[in-house]
Amino acid sequence: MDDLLTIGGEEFKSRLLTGSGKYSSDSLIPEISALSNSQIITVALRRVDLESNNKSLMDFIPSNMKLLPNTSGARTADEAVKIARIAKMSGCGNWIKVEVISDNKYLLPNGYETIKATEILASEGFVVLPYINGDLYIARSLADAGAAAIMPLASPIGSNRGIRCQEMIQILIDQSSLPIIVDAGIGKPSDAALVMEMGADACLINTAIASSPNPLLMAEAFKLAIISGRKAYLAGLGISTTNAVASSPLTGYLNG
Amino acid sequence: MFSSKGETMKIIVNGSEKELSNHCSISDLTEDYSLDKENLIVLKNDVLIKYEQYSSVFLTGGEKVELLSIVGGG
Repeated sequence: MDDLLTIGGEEFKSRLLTGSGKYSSDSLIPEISALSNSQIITVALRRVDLESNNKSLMDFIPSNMKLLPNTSGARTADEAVKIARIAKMSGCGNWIKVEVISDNKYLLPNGYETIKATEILASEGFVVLPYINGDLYIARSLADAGAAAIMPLASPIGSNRGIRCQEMIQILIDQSSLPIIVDAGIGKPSDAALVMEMGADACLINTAIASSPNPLLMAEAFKLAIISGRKAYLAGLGISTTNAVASSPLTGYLNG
Repeated sequence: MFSSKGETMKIIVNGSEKELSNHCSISDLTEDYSLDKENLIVLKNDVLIKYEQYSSVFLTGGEKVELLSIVGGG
């Protein structure tokens, strides 16, 4: 039975999205993509460094991967919309991760500006994946605005702090009609497995892989964790009790 | 504000003022910076200039040019 992830009308086998930032070398990206089995990769748009002449990131992104440009750097809806339009015009496709952040300490997303940007971009035909702090009403407004998925944070970007918003993420999973992709703060494979067991549709991982002493092995670990968590969710977890329930028979003991 | 006197003119590139020789095309500008044209995203006064147009679009002075690229991000 195929258990495919559907976003914006497209189907994917993998439920692990990966980022392209923070690696010690961009040359790791092809192997990380292969080992993680990721099919969707995020990228950013920036001014070129006019002082140096580095090889382009695009040279390292496998051609069969779906590009998901982000609007990082945008502090307002208008800035996010501008970045998205440039990304699309320059051939990056019509998928966009809307991230609108004006706070530099925690990099928490601005829900109001995110909703405004999503409404504009969805009406222009973008497949919009907005990054938010997991508020149910923001998520509902985003669904009304035409978002293709909801991306709630687990904890601050790049922090590796794990699932600090578990209850709110569970509410979104239970109440949202859109795919839930947990993004930001996932620090270890067991974090990813946890949210997948809860019923999340996918995870986006960047720092946890890039900051590992062995990113290649960690990419594979995350792949397995997400598969594991998803299978556990589909299987259904057994009932949990506070008292013990014996695993071996209670009769026929070799007594006396 | 910006002059086209003599041999040079001034434009804004990535937010900073730059002096260029007159009759400078986008292609000339990218070569000036030794940039990889294939993976460049160029905006002239907020309008995207396509790769095929680099040699035929000229700067006359006072333009705002953005030279962008796709980079790593989460």
